[in-house]
Order: sequence, then C-alpha cells, then structure tokens
Amino acid sequence: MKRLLPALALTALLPLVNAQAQTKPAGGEQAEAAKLLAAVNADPILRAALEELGRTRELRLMSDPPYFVEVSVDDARTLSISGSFGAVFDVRENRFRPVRVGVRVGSSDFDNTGSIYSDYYSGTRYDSDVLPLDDHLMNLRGALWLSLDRAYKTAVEAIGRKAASLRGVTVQDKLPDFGPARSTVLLETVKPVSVDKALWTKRVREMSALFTASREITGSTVEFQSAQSTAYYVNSERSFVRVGDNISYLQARGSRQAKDGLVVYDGATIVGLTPSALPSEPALNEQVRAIVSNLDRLAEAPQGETYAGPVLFEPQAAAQIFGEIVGAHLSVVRRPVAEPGRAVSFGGSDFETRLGARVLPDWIDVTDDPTLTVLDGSPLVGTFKVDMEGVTPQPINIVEKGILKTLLTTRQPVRGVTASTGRARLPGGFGVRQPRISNLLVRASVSEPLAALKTRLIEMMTQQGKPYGIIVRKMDFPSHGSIDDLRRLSQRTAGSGGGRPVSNPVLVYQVFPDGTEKLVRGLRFRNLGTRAFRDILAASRETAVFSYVDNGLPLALAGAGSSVVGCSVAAPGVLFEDLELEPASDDAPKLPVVPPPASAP
Amino acid sequence: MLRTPPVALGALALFVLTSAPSYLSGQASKKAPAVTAPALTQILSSELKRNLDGLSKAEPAAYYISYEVTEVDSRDLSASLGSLVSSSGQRRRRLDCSVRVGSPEFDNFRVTAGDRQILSTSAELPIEDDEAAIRRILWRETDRAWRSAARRYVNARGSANLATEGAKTADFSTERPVTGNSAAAEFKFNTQEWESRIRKHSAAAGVFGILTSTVSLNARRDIRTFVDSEGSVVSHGRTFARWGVVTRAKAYDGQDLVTSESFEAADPAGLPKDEVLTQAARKSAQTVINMVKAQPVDPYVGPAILSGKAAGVFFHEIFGHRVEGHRQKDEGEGQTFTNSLDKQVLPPFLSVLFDPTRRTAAGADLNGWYAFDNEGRPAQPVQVVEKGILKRFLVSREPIKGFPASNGHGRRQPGYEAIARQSNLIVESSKRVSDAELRRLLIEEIVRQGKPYGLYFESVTGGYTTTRRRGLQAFTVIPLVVYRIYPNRPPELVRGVDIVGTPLASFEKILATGDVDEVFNGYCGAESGQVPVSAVSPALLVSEIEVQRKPSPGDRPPLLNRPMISGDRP
Repeated sequence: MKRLLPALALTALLPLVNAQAQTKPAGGEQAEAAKLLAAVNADPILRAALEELGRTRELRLMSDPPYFVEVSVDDARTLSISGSFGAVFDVRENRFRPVRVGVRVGSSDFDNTGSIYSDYYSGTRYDSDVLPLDDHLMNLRGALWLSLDRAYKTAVEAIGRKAASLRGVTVQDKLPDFGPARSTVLLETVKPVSVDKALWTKRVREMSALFTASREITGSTVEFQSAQSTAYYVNSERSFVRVGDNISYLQARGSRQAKDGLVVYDGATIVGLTPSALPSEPALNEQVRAIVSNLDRLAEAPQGETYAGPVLFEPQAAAQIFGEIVGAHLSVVRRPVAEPGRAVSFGGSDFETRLGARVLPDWIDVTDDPTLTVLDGSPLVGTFKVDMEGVTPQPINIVEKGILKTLLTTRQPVRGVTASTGRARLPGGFGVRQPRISNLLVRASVSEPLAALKTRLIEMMTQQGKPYGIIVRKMDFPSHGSIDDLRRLSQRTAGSGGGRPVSNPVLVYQVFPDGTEKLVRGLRFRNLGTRAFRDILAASRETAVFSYVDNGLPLALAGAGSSVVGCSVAAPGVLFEDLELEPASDDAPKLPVVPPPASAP
Repeated sequence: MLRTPPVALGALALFVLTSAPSYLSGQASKKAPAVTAPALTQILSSELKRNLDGLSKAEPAAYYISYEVTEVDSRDLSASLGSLVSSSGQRRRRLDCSVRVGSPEFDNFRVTAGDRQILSTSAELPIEDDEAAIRRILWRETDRAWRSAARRYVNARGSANLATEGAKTADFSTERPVTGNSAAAEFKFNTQEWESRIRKHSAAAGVFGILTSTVSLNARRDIRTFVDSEGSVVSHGRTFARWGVVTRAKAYDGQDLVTSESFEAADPAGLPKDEVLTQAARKSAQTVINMVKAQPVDPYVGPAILSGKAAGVFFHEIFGHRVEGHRQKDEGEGQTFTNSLDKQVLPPFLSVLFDPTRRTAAGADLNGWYAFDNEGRPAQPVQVVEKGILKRFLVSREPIKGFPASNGHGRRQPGYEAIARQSNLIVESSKRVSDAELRRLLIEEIVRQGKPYGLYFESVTGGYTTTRRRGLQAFTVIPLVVYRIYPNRPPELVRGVDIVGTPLASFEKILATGDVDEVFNGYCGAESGQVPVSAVSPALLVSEIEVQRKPSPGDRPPLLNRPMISGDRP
C-alpha cells in the first residue's frame, strides 16, 4: 500500500511520472512532472485539493495521520424542466459544486470503512456538501479544510467503534479493507455543453400535451433533466483527474384507472450523454405516444391469471432484466461490519459466492465495456473514463461460456476479486462506493430468429397442455411507479423470503396456439432471480440496447436519488423454461365520481 | 445554516430563517400595480363548480370545496468570506384542495381523540395558465380529497356514536363570501448585482478564528389565489426580502457558538445600504470571536433584561401559542388559558395585539403581514389582551366555544391544514421607561435580590414551546448573545446560555418595559407547517429568569489552522 501523500514539491510528482512514462526518454520526466504541476496549479480546484490533501499529513488525534485521502468535486450545471398535460410546471437551473472527501485511517488491511459506523460523526459538522462557486483558492481550501477535518475525526471515531464491534468475533477469510489500484493522471480540457433551454421547454410542453389525447389519464409528467459537469478527483496516491461528465434524460410517465378501478401506469426514460445525443423530436414523441396508447390498452386489458410455464422476453424486456437482475448482482460490496446479532439492512449479491460457477447457459458470454460509445449504431450511455475512486476502467469479460469469471467492484476487496475493477460509479454507505455496470453486453453464440422463439414457446406450452404461453415486451425498469408502488413491492419481497425486489412487467401477452396474442394487466413475477437465468433455453438473433439512469435505489426508481449514472444493456430476447406469474392483489380504488373534464374546453 | 431548533414532538418552534423555505412569501409594496389573474381564478371557479355538482350528489355528499393556489417566485443566494456559494431561483405553483362532507355541524374535519389529520390534497400546478392542464389536475386532486374526506367522515361518525359527550361546537364556521384582489408587486430582482454585493458583505466576516460565516439573501414574491364553493374569490400577494448573516465558531471546550443578524424588507431595494450590511457581517464575526474567549455560563436564577427582539420571541412562545383557538378545544392540550377569558393573565400594564393588517412597525417591514388568511378570510386585528385581561383567542374557521366565526387567523403552509396561527404579535406597554432607566431598574433589582449580577439577552435565534397536556409545559428561547450585567463593573459576554422555565410563572415576573419597540421577523413552525410571523416588543425587565449551560457536543475544534496566505484577501 502506498502511504505517501502528495506534496507541492516537484519531486513528489516524479515517481508517478516514472510509473506512467516508462517508454519515454529519461530526460523528459522532469519536464513531464513540471508540466503536470503547472496544470494542477493552474486549476484552482485541483490546486486547492492538492494543497489541503498535503496538509492532512499533519492530522493527529490519538492516532496516526490518514494513510489515504481523496477529494472529488463536481463543477456542475443542471437544468430541469417539467410539465404536465401541455403546460410547464417548473424550469430550474442550478449551478453547484458538490464535494466529497474520503479519509482512511489504520491500514489497508484494517481501516475505518465497511462498518455501520463509517459515516457517523458524533460531533458538529462545520463543513458543507458544496464548495464555493468562485475560483478563490483560499476559500476553496477553507471549505476542504473543514471537510477533511470532519472526515478525519469521523474516521478515527469509526475505526474505534468498528474494532469494538469485532471484539470477540472470529472473522473467517479475512479480506483487506482497501485494495490496490493504479493511479490515474488525466487532465482533460472540458468543453462546455450547450443546452437549449427554450427548445427543451417547448418540447416538454408539447410532449406532455400528448397525454391529453386520453381523457381518463389522471396523472402524467414529462421531465427533462440535464447535468453538465467537470468532475475532479485527487487522491494521496497521486491520481489527478479532470474530465467532463454529462448526462441528459427525458422521462415521461402516466397513470389512469381501469374500469374495475385498478391503477395502471407506464413510463419511459430516454437517456443520452448530452441533450443533442437524445433521439430526434419525432422519435421522442413516438415514445411518449406509445406510453399513452399503452395506458389505454392496459386499462382495457383483462386482469392476468396465475401462470407457471415458459416465458419469452423480447429483446428490450430481456435487456431490462439483464440490467436489473444480473447487473445488480454483479455489483458487489461487502456486508458492513456490525456488532454480532445486530440487524443491518443490506441487499447482498447472489453472485458474491458464485465465482467459477455456471450462472448462465454455456452459450452466453457477458462483457462490461465502458470504452464503447456506440453498438451497431445504437448509442450507449454507460461510457466513462475514470471511476469515483480515480481508477481507469477496462472492458471486462464477466461471464465466459456461462461461467462467472469476475465481479464488478470498487477498491473494497470482495472474495475472489481483491483489486478494483474500476466500477465505483455511485456514492454508497459505510464509507465505500457502489459499483455499477457500464455497458453490459450479453452475447449468445447460439441464436435463432425471434419468430422461431415464439414458435418454440407455443410448442412447449402445447406439450405441457397449457391454453397459452406468455410473452413479455416491457418491464417497469427503471420503475415509473410511485413511491407507494415501490413500498408495496418491497413489502411483498420481504414477505416472500427477502432478497431484492424485482420490477413488475408492464406489457405481458398471452400467446395462443394459433399465434394470436392478448394483452393482460396486473401481473407480477414470483421469485424471478438470478437462478432463473441458468435455465435460459434459447436466445434471439435480434438484440436491443436498453439505456437507463441508475441512482442506487431499488428498481432505479425514476426521478429519485441525487446521483445518477448512465447504464446501457445490449441483449437478445430470451426464452425461459419455467417462470411464475401471479395477479397483483392490490386494492382497486373506485372510479372518480365526477367525469374527467372535457379535454378541449 | 443554523442549528435546527430542538423541536420535540408537539413542540412549536419559531426561528430566524437562514435559507428560506419554498413556501415562503413576501410583502407587497404599497403602490404596486394590480396583478390580474382572471385566467386562473376562472379556471379554478368553473372546475370547482363542476366538481361540487358531482360530489354534492355522492355519498357522503360534499358540502364545501376550496382551492388555494400558491405561486412562489424566489431567488436564494449565499456567499461566504467573499466567494459566492450558491445562487438559485425558482418559480412554482402549488394547489391545496379541501373537500368537506357532511354538514358544518359535523364534517370530516371533526377532531376525535385529539387526532388532527391532513385531509386536503396538495399537488404541483403548471406555472402557465393552461386551462386543460389545470382542470385535469384539479379534477384528480378533488377526487382524491373527496375520497379521504369520505373515509374520514365515516370513521368520525363511528367514533362520535361511541363518545359519551356530544360535540359542543360545530366543525366549520358560517361566513359571508368575500371577493378581493390585493395587489402584489412585480417581482424584480437583479441577481448579478446582489451576487456581487453579498460577496463584498461576506468578505467582512473573514476574521481570524471563525469557522464558517455565510451571508444569505432571499427574495420572493408570493401570490395566493383562493376560491371556494361559498363564492369567495380572492387573489392577493406579497413580496419579501431578507438579508442574513450567520457566523459560527467553536470554543476550546467544544461548545458550538453562533451569532446571526438579519434585515428584512418588503422589497430588496428597501434593505440597508452596503455599509450597514458589511458592518453587520463584520460584527457577527467579531462577536463570535469574543464568545470564543468568553466564560461559559453557570446555572443562575436572577433578574434580567430581554432585548425587544428577545422579548418578542418570548411572547410568541409562552403566550402566543397558548391563545391559538384550536388549543382551547383539543383535549390533549394543556389549555393554559381556556378558562381565563376576562381574567388577568398578564401584568395590567401590558396588552397584546395580533395585527396581520399592519405592514410596518418600529421602522421595519413585518413578515407576519397578509391581506387574507389561508381560508380566504380577510385579515383583521385581534386585541387578545387588554390591560392584562384576556379578551379573545385567535380563531380560524374552526369554531371554538364562544367564538363561532373566524377572525382571519386560519393559516398554513401549502400541504397542511389551516388552523389558528399567530400573525404580527404586538406587545403594548403602558409602563415604558428609557433604556438607561430600565438598566438602572435591573441593577436595583440585582441589589435588592442580593445577586452578584443580572443578565442581558441581546439577541436570540428563536425558541420553542410545548403546549400539550402530556409532558412538561415548557418553553425555551434560544439565546445567541448574552451579557452579565454587574452593579459596578462593565458588562461581560458569556456563552452557552439556555433559558429554562415554565409559562405561567414567567408572566408574573415582568416588572417594566423599555420604550423602544424592536421587531423579530421569523417563521413559526407548528401543526399547520411554517408560516411567516413577526413579534414586536419593547425590552422587558423580569425579576427572575433561570438559565442553564447548553449541552456541548464535546468534539474538538479543527485540528489544523485555517489555510491562509497573508495578502490573499478576497
């Protein structure tokens, strides 16, 4: 473990340059280091971070100074425009510089992180979550000084409490708390991204008006969100990062009651790295119209019935469940340390103990590739250059011939993966980050046309003597339901033995022997988890790219959370041999007494 | 931001706002052009009628519907030590929809067993007067409000059948409909100018030894549009601006120290000049540094002077909350004054007026001003105490024994139910003496009681009280700057002071008042959310006040010195 902390001196930068520039002629090292130092000093945020990071060596509080310190800052501009039924609610622009510091005391073998006390400080916080907006070196440093002081005291307090909770407990297979990673020097000149406020206000207004086409829709919103940021990261292992970090998305959702009162909802979140990367206006309108039409069709559709048997996920729905279920379980952090017997709310990963085991059919490979921006003409949004711990991510073959080869991790070592895989993408609790997929590519070496899969589905159900089979076209992931919907789903999951909640299917069709399809509503899966993926029977030649924003919440609940990352999944349609669906048992409220207002007054 | 007041369950808090909440409104300038919002009122009125037509035939039938739309246009800026920290603004509209089923004598708002619920619905509305969009949302929210009203009504009926005693008062007062259009000034705010001004003000607080200092500027306009099924149609608004500074430091023993100062005005242009604001920021920092050096207070009982601002908060907490109408009928309440009508509750030289129609006092614009309350009732002055005798309570449209009609104090934050709340509390005294005389009387009292010193409460940040029957009927005013006053040596600043006390006993101890009124503008938090209020009072001399040392978190000040390069000034 490196314990050196950066200093302002030129020499402190030399070893780094040595490591990075082995192929360069020896005489260039000094010049490289001087160039780097000049670049850092020319940027007030980087310079403030470096100078305050250097001072942390002097921190003492009945223990040693920190062995690792990191500072990340986003210099961000956001625009948010929301509307409903053809009128704009709110246009909000904001500029802010959220700051996050990490301080580790102890050693990489045992430090203050990974405990339920890691983020708890018993004293008074004087630091703020944001840095000043002006490039005033001393005020930037003053803000970081308070943040690092609080983080250091928190760390000292946490390591003591963590050690106390482990007293008298035998830890098996002890893993270090902090894994090694190569440092990164990447100082980009970030070009501002322009966002046309008037254009997007007009689009939000017009797209939200598309929901007025149906009189019975009670709730609907269209929301445009755009964030442009310069992301800074500096740590005591001499990583210096300044990169652009942008994301934009348009989210549309609506709900209404069916004739029997049951509430149906649907939505879509369309993601692009920049506003101009979003689909064209007609294409966006098309997606919104599809939601309106889905709502009316779902309201007319009969309630589905309990079903057990083969289920075909068409490519988009397949990409959704690969992202939601496989992607989530690939992202692994350790259960935090707590006193024996103390209950900790923590959603573990099924894959944590499955390294080397078969998790998919032997004709499926899965890679996660943050370097791609396009796949067969479809834009991908999971692209990033440096993760939240300053680690440069590489493409990873996660599943080879159905066998789980590795996991997506941060610098917190997990069983079998001790070095970071560069996927620390979201803030997390317990002093560690949360890993997330980037662009998850699911590839089947054996595939057939989707139509052939449908034929197989019909054959299977006929053999099993079932009146119909099931096709799923769209899942509610990321979820566009309400917080109440999520609460109900979580309660049900907890009631049926725990684990992570899985989103509900939105578009489910019964398929009859003659190939006709009938939309049904109100169904949900029982026990759809990672286990089912081992028994995928077949995959389609057709594939879909599905992109979404993940915010670290269950079901990536749309519109919630303060940090988001873009994720893309490319997958073929898949046929499962045996899944179970059941009708939702939610109460159906009565229909409104007063008829809806005339849409064109 | 300031420490949140330690609000216990059922506690009512008053505090100076460091960053204004989103509901907050401002004050109208006197010659503002009328804002015409016929489009919105027409949409609201016609959709209200359409919904009432349908719901009055439903089971249980709705007999009353109201819509209130609160539009807020706001700018919030902050700066610290010469650098801008945040600058944002927003414009939003929020709908509150209330539906009553049953009859005014007994409806869904009947409070059974002290259970007060939020039955109205609240939703975001477009900022554009788009008829189709607004109607659709009104329809949906009215339906939701009727459903919750119907459910609650059936439950309340069931509980009422079980009750041994019938209700003595109705649930909703009978009032005559009003139509009003009270002008709201146009919202003008020069963001760039104020960004650069607060940068300069905040730089003045860069005094060695402080930990943080933030200057904030909040400006906003609030337009409220109210329609109900009785035919009231009201549109009114205000603008309000507030400049504040909060400076914090930590004593060597870990005690957290804070000072604050603020200025309010109906319009940002009415705030003091830069010299005054810069000086206030500097003084805030210097005072907190003096507090770092000051002695922590010892537990003490003795005479004291409360500055006019501190006295205003004192009255708001210990008196104002206890004359709010609904507390006289809720069984869970302490009901300190319920049976005190026409009885002596304050010294005979004191009177208390609540006057939401008053816009200024003692040269300052008042925050507790409004033209109509949140139930569409016109604001009116209410003389609660005359020469020490309790005459009446603050009343909303929820009648209480002896007060069947509203006196314009039904207030709420959007998203809550209106109940009787305070407005501009004005303490009137017929025993006014000059500051010097008040100081002399204090020393006389110190000597008479044989105490070594008395206390002077210069500034407070707010307070809280509990009025419930269960638990201690206590109040606290949160002092920021407190001095010991000695008979024969200069005043001495002390730190870490907490006031302890019980309400009734405190009133008897007021001996005299000063002759200069001061204004405390703040926000009061209670069951119906946060509402803007003011308290106007002269300084008070009290024969006895009890103080204790504030609990200290005990963590150390920062381990390293603040980074500072000489000459590197903003």
